[in-house]
Amino acid sequence: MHAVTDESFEEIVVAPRSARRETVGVLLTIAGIVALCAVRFALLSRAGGEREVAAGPSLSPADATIFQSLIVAAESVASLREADGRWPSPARLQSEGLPPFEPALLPQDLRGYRWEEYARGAGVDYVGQEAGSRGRASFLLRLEDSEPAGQGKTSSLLVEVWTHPRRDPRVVDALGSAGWTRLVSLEGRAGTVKRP
Amino acid sequence: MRWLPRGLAALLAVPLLLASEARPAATRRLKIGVTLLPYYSWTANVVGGAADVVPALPAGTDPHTYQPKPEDLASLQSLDAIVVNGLGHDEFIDPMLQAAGRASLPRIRPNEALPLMPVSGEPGATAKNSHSFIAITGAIQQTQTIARSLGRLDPRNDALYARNAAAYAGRLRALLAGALSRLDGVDTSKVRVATVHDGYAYLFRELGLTVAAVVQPRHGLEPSARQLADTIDRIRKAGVGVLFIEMDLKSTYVDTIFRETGCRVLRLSHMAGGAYTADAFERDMKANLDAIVAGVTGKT
Repeated sequence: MHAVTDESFEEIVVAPRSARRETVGVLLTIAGIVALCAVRFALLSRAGGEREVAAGPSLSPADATIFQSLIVAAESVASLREADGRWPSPARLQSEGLPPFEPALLPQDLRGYRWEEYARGAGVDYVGQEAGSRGRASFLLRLEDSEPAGQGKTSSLLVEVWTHPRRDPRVVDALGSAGWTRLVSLEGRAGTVKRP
Repeated sequence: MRWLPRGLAALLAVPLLLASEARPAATRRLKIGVTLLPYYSWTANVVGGAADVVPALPAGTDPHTYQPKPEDLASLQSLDAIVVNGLGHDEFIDPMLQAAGRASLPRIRPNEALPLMPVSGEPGATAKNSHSFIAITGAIQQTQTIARSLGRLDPRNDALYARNAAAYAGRLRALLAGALSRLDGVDTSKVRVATVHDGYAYLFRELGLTVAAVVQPRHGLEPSARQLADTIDRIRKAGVGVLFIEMDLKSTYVDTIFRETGCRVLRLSHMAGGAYTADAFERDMKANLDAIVAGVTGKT
């Protein structure tokens, strides 16, 4: 913009630069960073089960103890099934000294659970509920062959641990629809962890 | 040894890189590295005599100050995999592996799928307590993870590793059963303990005990006078009857806490020091369980 005030003096008014270009630049930079993050996350998820994955949501100390005992027991349950040709009963697991089925291997405070076995096709559910009225959560250990043994192939086991905030929860195939929360899912001998 | 100087790392790495040789696993005897003493015991029990277990650091060294020697890096050269904590307890290993030209060495992470606990004294913190190796059921779970991972690397010995892990689990369960039976009759819901170091939370959880206060959440941090006063106040309010300190800790503030609160003081092992032996974990754990039972029951 030019404004002529007299013959010897010319005033030049410089208009402020539009912020539009700077705004566009910033937005493009942000978009670039977001795109790079998306590519990075995509590559990470393709990396599969090699990364460390924390298991399950935050649990109370008592619930974490039951949960961990179930995860640890799963391998022994699978071994007993291989030896016996059928899924072991809770009484058999107790006789093997496996917590949480053997209450003596748990802190006193957690010894009031009653465990029952439910056959599920080729799999099994072990459901533990508090026998008393202290309001403790229920737990479910679900085991099934994800890949049956064949010629020259080792069977692959799917291990899941679920919890329910109340007693006498429904035990169905779709546990999530009955109010259960999956704490962890382990598949295969390599123990690849899937997020709940 | 929080980091390795880049120049030193490069100098150490040159001869090792020249000597490197890629060999397929499972056609020969495995060599498995470990970063911590408990991992040595667990892995040695899993493999029996079927593989070699190689500590990344010499016995008795402090990983926070130790500077690796060429022979330390050379021993990493021939490894097939390494068992790592990965939660902050063995940060030294990545620079060492990098210097040894083995940055891509497969890591076995026994903490995978563990119900990890948050770092004490840091509410809302996302950091997890890295002392998951001071536990019994936790140790069994981690030993199973190691056995599965080794079986994948060495399928010929998969069944052997699984059997050995199961036998080891039986011995560890016997330790737990012994401690729990001695705690029978004690109302553990009313027992309040404090620890000088935040390393025992997993073990106390397995025993059904609550840690009411942690005096020194992290290694090497001495509390300020104000923090000490706050800790004494918390110990009094929580009714803490026993304070567990680290085995070799000599610190005047522990005496102050004892004098001010009157709670009993017992010692626990951090389980990360000493000679690398297959029975080290069981020996140290038994000593810890004896101390805890004595502290809680008042019987020695």
